[in-house]
Amino acid sequence: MVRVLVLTHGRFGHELLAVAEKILGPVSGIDVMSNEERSALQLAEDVRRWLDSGAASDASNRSAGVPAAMILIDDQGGSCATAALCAEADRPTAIVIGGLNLAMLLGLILWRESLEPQELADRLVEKGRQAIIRIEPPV
Amino acid sequence: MSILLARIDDRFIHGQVTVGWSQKLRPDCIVLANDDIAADAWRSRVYAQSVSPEIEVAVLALAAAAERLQSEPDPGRERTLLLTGSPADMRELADRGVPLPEINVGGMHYSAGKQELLPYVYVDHGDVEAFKALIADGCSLRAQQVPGGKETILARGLLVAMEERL
Repeated sequence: MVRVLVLTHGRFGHELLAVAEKILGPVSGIDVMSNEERSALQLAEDVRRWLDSGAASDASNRSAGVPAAMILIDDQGGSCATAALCAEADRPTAIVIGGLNLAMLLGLILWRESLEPQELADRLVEKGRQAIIRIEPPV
Repeated sequence: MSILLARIDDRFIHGQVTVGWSQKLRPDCIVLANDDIAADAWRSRVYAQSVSPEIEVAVLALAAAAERLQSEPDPGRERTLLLTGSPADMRELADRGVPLPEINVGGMHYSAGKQELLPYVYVDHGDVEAFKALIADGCSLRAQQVPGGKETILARGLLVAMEERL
């Protein structure tokens, strides 16, 4: 199962995971990191440390030809996205997905054990987009 | 070249810059001046791709940035937002002749050896020295994270008091 880091501005990731747990029950194996009180360099180093912390399982995944880790961020072009990309510069097998929303996180929790990382990533992007709709009042 | 905003921010290009300041100032060019990032092709590309395509991002070493900032701008690239990661780098640009009448201090996060000047500005002796040198050169230092946010003038007296605490 791919390792996952939720990397967001402020407490967004922590709160999103707390909401997901209210819906689906306790969740394990998803790490959360905030950009609070960190420079770009410090944040990238912390992400790199997180990537390094799973070196053994990542190596096992890599040898099997599948991505080692997945990083979900809340915004494109922000400090989290920059840190994720800078940290995985020499780890091209990590998957970075932007635009994190609740639908994506719920999908991740539901599918991460059954889907391979590449397919999981595609499904999460699709799920996240599907959740963004204009809700019309009933007629 | 018209510098709309000269900002010290150790996150360089991020939400406060791409959304906050860019929405207000409408720059057509961002000059990110930093020797380390300019020497790192991957990080340079990451930053260059993190803004809307209509805004040019120039990631330049300090010397090259100083040269560009004092040259005639390309048409359509007159509205520049300048970013450095530290007061020392901004001071070097000033020393190289870049006119910097006003500097926005946007974010200097905590690291070992630094103390809080403002909740989003942590400094050490080197930072205070660079700030004081900029003030001595005639720069006005204004700490403000986002447009419309509270602005704090970093006056020399405040920096001297801070220096005594370090």
